[in-house]
Amino acid sequence: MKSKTEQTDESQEPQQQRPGKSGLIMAVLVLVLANAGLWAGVVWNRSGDPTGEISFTQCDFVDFTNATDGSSRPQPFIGSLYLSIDGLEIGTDNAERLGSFYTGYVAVSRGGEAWEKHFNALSENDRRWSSSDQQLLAVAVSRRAEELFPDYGQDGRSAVLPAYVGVDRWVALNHLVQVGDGMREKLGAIPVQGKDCTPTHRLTITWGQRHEPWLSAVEEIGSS
Amino acid sequence: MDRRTAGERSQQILAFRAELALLEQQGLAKFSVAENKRVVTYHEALLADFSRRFDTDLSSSQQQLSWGMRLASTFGALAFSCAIFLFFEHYWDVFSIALQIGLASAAPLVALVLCEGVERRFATRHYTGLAALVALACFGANLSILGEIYNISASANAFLAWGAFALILAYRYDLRVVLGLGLGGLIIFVGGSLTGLLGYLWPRRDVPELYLLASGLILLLPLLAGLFGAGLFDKYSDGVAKAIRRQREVYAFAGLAGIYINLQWLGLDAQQSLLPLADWTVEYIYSLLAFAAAGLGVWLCLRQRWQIGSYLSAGFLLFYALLKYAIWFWDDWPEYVFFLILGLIALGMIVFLNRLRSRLRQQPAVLPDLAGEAKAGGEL
Repeated sequence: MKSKTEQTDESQEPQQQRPGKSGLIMAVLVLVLANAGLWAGVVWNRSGDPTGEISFTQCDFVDFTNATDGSSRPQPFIGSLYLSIDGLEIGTDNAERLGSFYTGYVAVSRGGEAWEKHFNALSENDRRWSSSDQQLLAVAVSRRAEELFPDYGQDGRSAVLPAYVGVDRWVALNHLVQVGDGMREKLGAIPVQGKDCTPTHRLTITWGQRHEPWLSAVEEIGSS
Repeated sequence: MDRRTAGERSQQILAFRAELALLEQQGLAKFSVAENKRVVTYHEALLADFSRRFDTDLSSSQQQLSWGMRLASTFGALAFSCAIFLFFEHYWDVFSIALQIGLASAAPLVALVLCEGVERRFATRHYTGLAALVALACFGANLSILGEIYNISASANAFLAWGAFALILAYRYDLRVVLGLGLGGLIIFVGGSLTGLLGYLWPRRDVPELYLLASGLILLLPLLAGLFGAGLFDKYSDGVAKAIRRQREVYAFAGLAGIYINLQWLGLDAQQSLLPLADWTVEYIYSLLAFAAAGLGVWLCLRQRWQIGSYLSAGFLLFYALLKYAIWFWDDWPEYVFFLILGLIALGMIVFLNRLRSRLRQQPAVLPDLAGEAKAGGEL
């Protein structure tokens, strides 16, 4: 028989409640909502008109190789390609006008009048060290993407990218381009040529509504 | 009764037994055999019940082992997370995109189910804590991998999701480390979002003042919850306010740590500041603020007898003082002078802390509400 003290104490101490299902449901909800939000962004990015499209060849990607490194591990290109964007002297005038760093947009291009002007303005040294093999140069800058769209993004050789722009520096986002399943086989079939590379395939990179890029086509040059 | 209350009650019983044994030894007090038997039986039953239901420690050696287990579970979680990460990192590119997405999306769900299973199977916290940390790591990997596959621009919103997930796990399984991590995530979310609102590109540009603000909010949240939450809106907000107040020392710890980290950041890298002043002025302002905040932190935590808070504040004060001292004087002074002065500073700090301790002995805690945390403080 329990003493009076024990009975009183037990009555004041209800048994521990095993956590209900609400916490578990909320945790699953957070996981689902976060993934759903992420997928919504991906779908939105790839819907509607692209905000940029530029064609390259396999020779433009310095690290292009489908060899393995001896550990049966494929080189990164199987999963992704790296874009290297250079160029654009924003200059003091712009700096005075724009003030300090701000979130804006740059137009990157690979050919065209503005591109030639900037490319020719680069010193030999800059061309060798700053400008990559892709020769993708930022050629215009603005606070608003709409100001760049009339001239860039729809000509097949330029794209409008979000960037962090300052006095003489800027940073364009999303240099990494993921290679989809459908493209992997095609990329893997392209022979690796090394330094003296002869372009045989055209690789098209497309930027979507959110200015996020993907590899949209791999074609043999002359086949289309 | 919750786990912490059971732990506190167990400690109280053990302390009572030790003190009673001492009193009996000195002949100052003695229970009759019947009384002693009744109290011992009652306490034994309580301790056994707490141990069974909440896995509480029944002796100081068990408590020390618990600390060891806590450290082991944290390292275990890190090791498991590293193993998972490195395995997938090694083979990742071989997997198709669909498989990559499937694995990344399923991982946190599987880890959550595992966490729930462990919680139901074992009474001890350590396994659940380990599983929850792995679930948290899987969710981080989930967002990061999908973001990389689709080149999604970095966003502070990921830290909102991650922080919310951590908070839910922490409250569901009563895990303080996970709660601290969740609050850290929310500090980054608030700071990152404010950075974007000011027109800067997060994470290319970080503004420590904004993280400072977010850390201050976290620090004050239990106080605000106490002032405005209780019964103001409805039963739900009342419950949230109570939940925040119950874990107030974790909020205080995360807030203080955030404040110290950002003050140190600003004191060392003045260019990141928003203040339109010369770099050296900003550096001196924030260095002074860092010393003042840490000193105030030590004083308040000692007054409140909040052990972990006082360790954190004193540790930061010492670390930052040494860092600034080295930056300012190492190049200019001969080494022997540098170390001589350093020794004198250490002596001065001992004298200062000793005097503070003596004064505190004579004073009761200012806020009875927080004084109660002294017992729980050591468990953080």
